[in-house]
Amino acid sequence: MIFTIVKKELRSYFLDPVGYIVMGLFISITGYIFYNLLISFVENTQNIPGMYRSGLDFVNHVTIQLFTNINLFLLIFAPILTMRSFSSEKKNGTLDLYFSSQVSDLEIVLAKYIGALIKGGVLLLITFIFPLILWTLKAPDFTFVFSGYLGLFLNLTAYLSLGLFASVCTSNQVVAAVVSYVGILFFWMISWASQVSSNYLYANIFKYVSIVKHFETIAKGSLTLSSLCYFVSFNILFLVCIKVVLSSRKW
Amino acid sequence: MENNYSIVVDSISRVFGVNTVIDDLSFKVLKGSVHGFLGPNGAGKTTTMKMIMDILPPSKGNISIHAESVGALLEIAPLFEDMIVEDYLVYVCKLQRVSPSKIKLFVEEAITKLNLKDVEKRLIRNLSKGYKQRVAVAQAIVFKPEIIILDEPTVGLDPASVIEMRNLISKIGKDHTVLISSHLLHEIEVLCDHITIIKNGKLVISDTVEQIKKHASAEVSLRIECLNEEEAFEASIKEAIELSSNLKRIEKENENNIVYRVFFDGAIKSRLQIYDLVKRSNLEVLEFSIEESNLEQSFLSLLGERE
Repeated sequence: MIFTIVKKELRSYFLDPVGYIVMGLFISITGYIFYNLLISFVENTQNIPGMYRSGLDFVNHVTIQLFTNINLFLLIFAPILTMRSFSSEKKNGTLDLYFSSQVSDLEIVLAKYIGALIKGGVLLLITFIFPLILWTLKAPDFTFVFSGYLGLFLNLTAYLSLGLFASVCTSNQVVAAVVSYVGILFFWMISWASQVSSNYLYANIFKYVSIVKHFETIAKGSLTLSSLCYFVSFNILFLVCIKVVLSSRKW
Repeated sequence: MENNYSIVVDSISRVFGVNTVIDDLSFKVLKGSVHGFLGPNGAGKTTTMKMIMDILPPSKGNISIHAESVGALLEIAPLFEDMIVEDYLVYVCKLQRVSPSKIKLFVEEAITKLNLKDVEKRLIRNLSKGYKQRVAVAQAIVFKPEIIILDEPTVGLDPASVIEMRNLISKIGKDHTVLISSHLLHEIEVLCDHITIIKNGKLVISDTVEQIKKHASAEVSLRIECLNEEEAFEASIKEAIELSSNLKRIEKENENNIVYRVFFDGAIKSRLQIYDLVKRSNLEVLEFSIEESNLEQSFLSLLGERE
């Protein structure tokens, strides 16, 4: 049943021009950033005297910067992928079709989540062109490419589960998008609070809750159990919240 | 005995916050019948239907469904506009876990029954309102549920589509138990065997169409069209109303001529009494006629919206 709904979700997305506009915009913006990072690295290399060139690190100046920027734009694009998932179904009455059929709430939640993951995964997939270009230039350290993509994917799962939660709370897709932006920004900016907090415990809590800190750690090649637990629990928390909202009709 | 009923609604109530939307409502829907569900706007019809569909639970009371599956077309047609008609119906069958070997046959049958052959390969968003409504009905019957719930299936349709939809529902009613709500009382009168009327979430009456009409058949009137009006006649009728309960009230309208309507209990004796009062007056009568209440008048009368 989950597969049936996922298939329908993907069919709707890929038959809709909006899906292609989103993908086109995403690859254009990230492509422009990639180009600029490469050019600025090359210019810096040429402008710096030979004896200091070894201090210029390609991984830090291009690879990690690229993934940090892609992550920033995922923040903007992920809510677009999720904003209609539940809200438009609520508005069009199609959610009642699921409620009145032989589909459980959990199946609906998982199908929507997997559908969103695949849509988001496609966005990441099209950025594979950047490491491919680096490979032709014989430039990349693929350890960092792998960890960068792992960090992006884990961050994306968090953005999408939060976005789906925003979508299930309203029948207005614009409201859903705004709420998910605010939510993601909250988990992004809470890291700033850790920097200004004088209390060691609070600072550590803020740091742990911040989505960016975990991404930075993973992108730099160190996947810790703590980060993995963070993303797994983040996703489970919001998926449970979505299920609770769906079930709340029966209260 | 309960086995004769497809739906048994037993003293259900539904509270939203501090508002009691449904209050101790009970009725039964006979197996194989077409059952009308009437009430003014905001009476709680859609809420009740959602509770029968198990989309909403009742705050109190029970609903027993004696059927394996229930198909529904609720207030908003649940259409995926970016799908083609055939794929949509296949999708609904899959959601209802119809055996894959039967899906094709079921979809073909629904398409034939609802005359959707011409548009089966078209996107739902490109269909006319009438066709969309047909697709919405098709999704309610495609998986062959024993009970079908239709909430305002003709709303927003043009008169020709309303007639078409009525014929379709009549066709569906031969194979399924149908619970239908509508504002078009004539439609309900034509389609339904039984009717439940609710107001403010409470049961007003649940009975056969004939019985409901009889309930309000005190609303039989004698229409007297005459050339002149006469206060003495009106006074004599009013006097008779005060003296006996068989005469109800008198209404006067100025159409092309003067028209009196004397409402009475429908008995011959009462009719003769009115004739006698007319004879004793100086009314220049052009025409007498009896007007019996239709479902609309019964409905209004039962809801207490008339005097």
